[in-house]
Amino acid sequence: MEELEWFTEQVKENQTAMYRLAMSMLGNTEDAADAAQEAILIAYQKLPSLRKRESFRPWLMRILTNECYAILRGRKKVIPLDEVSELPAAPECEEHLQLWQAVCGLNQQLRAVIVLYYYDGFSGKEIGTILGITEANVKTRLSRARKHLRILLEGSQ
Amino acid sequence: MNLDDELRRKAREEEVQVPEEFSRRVEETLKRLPVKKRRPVLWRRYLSGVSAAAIAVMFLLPNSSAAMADTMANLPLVGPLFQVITVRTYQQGEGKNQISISEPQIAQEGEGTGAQEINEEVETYIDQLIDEYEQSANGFGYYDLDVTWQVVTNTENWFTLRIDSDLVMASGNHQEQYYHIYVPTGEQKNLSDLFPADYDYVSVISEELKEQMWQRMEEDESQYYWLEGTTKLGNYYFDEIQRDQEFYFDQQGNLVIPFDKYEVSPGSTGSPHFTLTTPELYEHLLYRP
Repeated sequence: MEELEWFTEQVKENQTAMYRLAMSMLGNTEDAADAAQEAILIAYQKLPSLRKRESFRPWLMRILTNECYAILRGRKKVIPLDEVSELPAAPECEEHLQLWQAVCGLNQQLRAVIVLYYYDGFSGKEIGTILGITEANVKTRLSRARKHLRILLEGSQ
Repeated sequence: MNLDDELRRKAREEEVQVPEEFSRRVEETLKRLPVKKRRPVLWRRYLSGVSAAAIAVMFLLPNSSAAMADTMANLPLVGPLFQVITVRTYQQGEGKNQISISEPQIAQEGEGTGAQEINEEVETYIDQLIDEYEQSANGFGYYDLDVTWQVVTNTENWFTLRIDSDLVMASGNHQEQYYHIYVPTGEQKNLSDLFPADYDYVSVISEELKEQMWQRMEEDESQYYWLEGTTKLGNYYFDEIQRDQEFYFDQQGNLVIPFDKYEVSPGSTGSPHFTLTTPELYEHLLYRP
């Protein structure tokens, strides 16, 4: 299989996971798409440096995480009042999805860990690599997030 | 069904739909990619084998010999009551993969001091870090971890040990972990232990933190925090601390809340610390250093 064909297939397979991670970090579809677009371009360019093809998924998510951080860094410091009406009123979370709604209620630090662990099935070690934190810190965040999710989910029932 | 299983089940059953706009952008990006020839995989496998053989010697120095124990025990004391020594150092390097860890141990082990519990937690934490490094060294090809420690507080009432982890992979990250002992009882303490159960310290601290973040942004343009109204983050901004948020006491006995990099601000703001000044908070404080 040609490299481009293989790469395209891999990205499409991971599209939903990319969307969830970018949304958990950025909170709106437009920015999530920007981050995904940049991540795809960078990943394709750097593909020869990936030592193991089986590591593609966490590797792609790591690149996506970096692009999300880059977008967060570049966001305006203060939004002028006349632009306030253009702001999204709430994160674009689908209301019928109980867990996704609860995840949206967590703070930024905890959301990505939960998304990667429960929705995408990454291990603590892989999540640490993707987010640039230690596995021990992943476990701490998971534990904190579970406590919050229990309260949020109980409250929504 | 426990919470973990319940969350897995919900995540499996809830299908988060990817919006059309997102799919379209992905599709367009993929179509724009140029065709290039795939490199053979074999050379990468070969190089990987060579580099694995070239791993530098590991220096693991457990406090196993009497001479080493004596040397370590003679290190300068860090405080009047608890002594902390580096019980193990771990260094390894291979190309862009580097790790340097100093593992502390509180010397006053024994019943009721609280030291043993923390020593075990620290040892587990350090073992995890070393294991992560060994697992990751053959992964993405860049892993640089530096772990150091310091004693933040050491009085007749309070002892706090801080462990700093600086990890550089594609970008840098900095984490701080704090371990606290209330010395008179030897109990390990968290932030939630510092206040009466019916006192809403989370709200009081959170409000002061947000106020301080706004003030810092007004005074220094290079400072930027994710707060409601500062960005188009929707609901994604700092609003409230965790119940057991990291904390420590400074030299004057003030409560300080440290945040990890990216926790409440972009990486350019670093790992900000906030000294709390709300008088009401100190009126409710159950423990002082």
